[in-house]
Amino acid sequence: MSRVNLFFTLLITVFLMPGLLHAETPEEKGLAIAREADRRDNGFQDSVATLQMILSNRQGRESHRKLKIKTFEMTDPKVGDKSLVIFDSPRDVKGTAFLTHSKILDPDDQWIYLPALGRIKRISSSNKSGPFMGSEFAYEDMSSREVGKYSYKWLRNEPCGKLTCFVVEAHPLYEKSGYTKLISWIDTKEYRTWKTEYYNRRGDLLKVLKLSDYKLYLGKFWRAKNLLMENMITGKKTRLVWSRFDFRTGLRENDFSRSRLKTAK
Amino acid sequence: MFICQCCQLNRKWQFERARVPKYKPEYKPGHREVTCKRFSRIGYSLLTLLCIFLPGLISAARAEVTILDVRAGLHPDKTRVVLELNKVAFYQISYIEGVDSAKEREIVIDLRETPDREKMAALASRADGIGLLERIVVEDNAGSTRFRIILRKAAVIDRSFTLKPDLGHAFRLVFDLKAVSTAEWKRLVRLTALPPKSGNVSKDALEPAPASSVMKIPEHVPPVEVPVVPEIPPESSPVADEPPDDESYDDMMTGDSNFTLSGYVEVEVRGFTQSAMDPGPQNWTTSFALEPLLEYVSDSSNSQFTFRPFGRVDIHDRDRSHFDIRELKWTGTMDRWQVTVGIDTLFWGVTESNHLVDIINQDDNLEDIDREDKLGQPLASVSYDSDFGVFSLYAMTYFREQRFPGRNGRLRLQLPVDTSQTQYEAGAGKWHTDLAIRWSHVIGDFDVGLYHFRGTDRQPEFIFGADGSGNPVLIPRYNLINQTGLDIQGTFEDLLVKFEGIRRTGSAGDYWAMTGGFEYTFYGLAGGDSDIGLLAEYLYDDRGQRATTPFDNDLFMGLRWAMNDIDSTEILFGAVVDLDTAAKFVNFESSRRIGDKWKVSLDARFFLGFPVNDPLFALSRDDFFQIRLARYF
Repeated sequence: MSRVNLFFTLLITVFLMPGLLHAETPEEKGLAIAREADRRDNGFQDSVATLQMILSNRQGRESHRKLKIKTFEMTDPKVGDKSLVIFDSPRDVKGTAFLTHSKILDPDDQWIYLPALGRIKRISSSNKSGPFMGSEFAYEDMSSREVGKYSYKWLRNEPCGKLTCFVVEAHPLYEKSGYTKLISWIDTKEYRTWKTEYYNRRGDLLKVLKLSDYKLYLGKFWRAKNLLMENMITGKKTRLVWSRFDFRTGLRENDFSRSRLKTAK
Repeated sequence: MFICQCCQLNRKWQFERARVPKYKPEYKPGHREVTCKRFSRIGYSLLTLLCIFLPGLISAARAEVTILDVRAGLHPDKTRVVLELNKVAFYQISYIEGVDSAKEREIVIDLRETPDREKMAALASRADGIGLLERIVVEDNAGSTRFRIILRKAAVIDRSFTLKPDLGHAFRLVFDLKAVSTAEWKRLVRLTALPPKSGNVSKDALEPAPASSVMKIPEHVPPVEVPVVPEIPPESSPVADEPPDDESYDDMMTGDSNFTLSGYVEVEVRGFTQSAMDPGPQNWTTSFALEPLLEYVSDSSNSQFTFRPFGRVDIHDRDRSHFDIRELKWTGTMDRWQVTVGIDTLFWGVTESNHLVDIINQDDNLEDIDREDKLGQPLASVSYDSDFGVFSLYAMTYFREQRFPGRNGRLRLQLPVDTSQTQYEAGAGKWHTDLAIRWSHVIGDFDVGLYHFRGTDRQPEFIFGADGSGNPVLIPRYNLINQTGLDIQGTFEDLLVKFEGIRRTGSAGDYWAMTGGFEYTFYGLAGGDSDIGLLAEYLYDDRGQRATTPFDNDLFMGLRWAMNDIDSTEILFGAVVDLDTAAKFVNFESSRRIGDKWKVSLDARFFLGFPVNDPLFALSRDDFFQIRLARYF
């Protein structure tokens, strides 16, 4: 009897212990998923996209904005990407441009160019949870999604249609976030995010983002053409419809400097 | 003799006579058109491969085609190659790779037509070394024409289309090149077998590839699988509402939509709460303004042209009606260099209550008294974006004189200003060349600007005089000055710290002045979306009571409220208090959008308790509010 016990003990020790030692915690698995999603998006160098932002209130009244977003990928993982948002409409803000040099945990550096005054203003970027252009997207939703900005926790895998999705919880590590956590559904095949739930500081479900119409660019980069953000408390919605994505357009880091804001087109 | 899988040809640009199959919405497995639809949905227009284009007339005979031009252009998102021909032509595309080195990559476009040999050689030189393009070689390939597009890095013809003759151009075959990954490139090379270079391009080779080989391609491109995330309502299924892949590119027709026209037209009503000091002026004025903006941006956006005229017609105060060219300039950008020539409006400075360092442009006093409307300044400027900041040099060739309201206007000095007698210290008068050099840099949390200006002061001195009929008038005199200015803003999360200072020397005396303070913003007030900013600035001028500006020892306190709503509702309320006399200049500004195209604003300014010796005393009875309604286009 004891011999059998010993045998089983040995068996467990030899075959199962290494497995137990190397078992990923949910936190490690969550981080690994985020890293993999990030790795798959590496190397786009720069991108130029135009999109329409459609705001609608509970009564269904709609307001349209047209903008162009240029992004420059910084290869150093300790530095966030640089981006330019240029407004085309509404027409009273046409030519207004936002320049962001994003950081991982520090507040981003941000400038705005106001064409009516010809003035470039450095602005505070601690307004993370404020609405971007009156939409349901907050500034922090529009800023670049760096791995180091959050801590992660894998919750479960669950089927989502034909695919299986990781369900991953992310907690913002940067200050002044309007969220306590984000829960995202990321497919196991291509690591695309299909849905994200945003929970406010009180822990209530605040917003739900649904992404659809994923397209593959340059054989590597998946981009959703349709994003719908719905505020669960106010009932307001904002839809982003991306009309085109161009990658590796030959932009230089210099094009994302403060002095080039005036001629950003 | 329909030949082409024309999926990636934009439908708008197909010739009407071309027999091109329309996509059918229903899914028929194995059917060629379905291949097309799937392709376009994936967004990968590989079907340029082995695609023979047959627009319009079908001509079996091999005809001679004249290649009129070969050119290439760099667009922000693509490299465009255009072949201009005297007639439409068949073509075939292959991707080839050098045998010994994978770095030798070429896209080969074979025209089936015979080339015009004489012209061939000289043509391709214009298309050298742009974007993804190393160069283009045009050669005779056994009686047909071969264009070899030699690439700098792996690229695909993402889109191609034909343009009909118009605007002095003949038929154009347009190819848009985009970069692809090496793996993708390898796949393209495998899929396109190049006909032997020296051999005849047989007619067979130009026939479309068998459907089976076309059908293979999608296997490499993973189809979009659609997960159904819990709680997502069925209508968000990407398949169900997949729009037809008919991305409309604004720049398709002319090649580019380089020109844009925008701007606004506005009606303004001003009401003055008191009657003027003089009996003439009215208490109400109505005016209309128009400010169109015409812009040209080259494909690379390295060359930009801007034209922004402005005009206001005041139906009650004719002297306030005025016209100006705010901008009429060309800006060229080359790597770290930027050059501007023409009429420009630019702003320097960081503070809100006073704009001390801002000196390039003259104030447009007729427009408003807040010194934020400026007259266009003719200049040439060069700036260099170094690692140690941006260095800019400005040469201003013509002086813009201030303009003043007439006898029947409000917001004017006590005596009329006679600009026909304007005096200049500079011998060349208005044509004196003013120079400025500026350095600006971002150092961590600080944005710093430092400049020196040498030229004619924008603010005149006034000399008592008389006009032709002997009435007393003020005569403006513009002195030559040297001015050094410094502006700094520190950005610390919710707190902005601002400073502007100038040191001025000249015949009218030397002095220094500063404005400095802070702006603190409470974001997301009471859990909502709106922000409140508190502003405080101290204004100082070491000339004291002798200062020609009203701000010699003043304190500004302000409140900014931004609702951050759909309509961008904003209110700014502030007052500058003279610490010596307790006189107050009170300012209220508010605006919001109505719909997507209208904007309404309400401003009010009050001048309270100014003593007789204060420069603002003349405005003591000119408290006013103005409502502006603008329609943007």
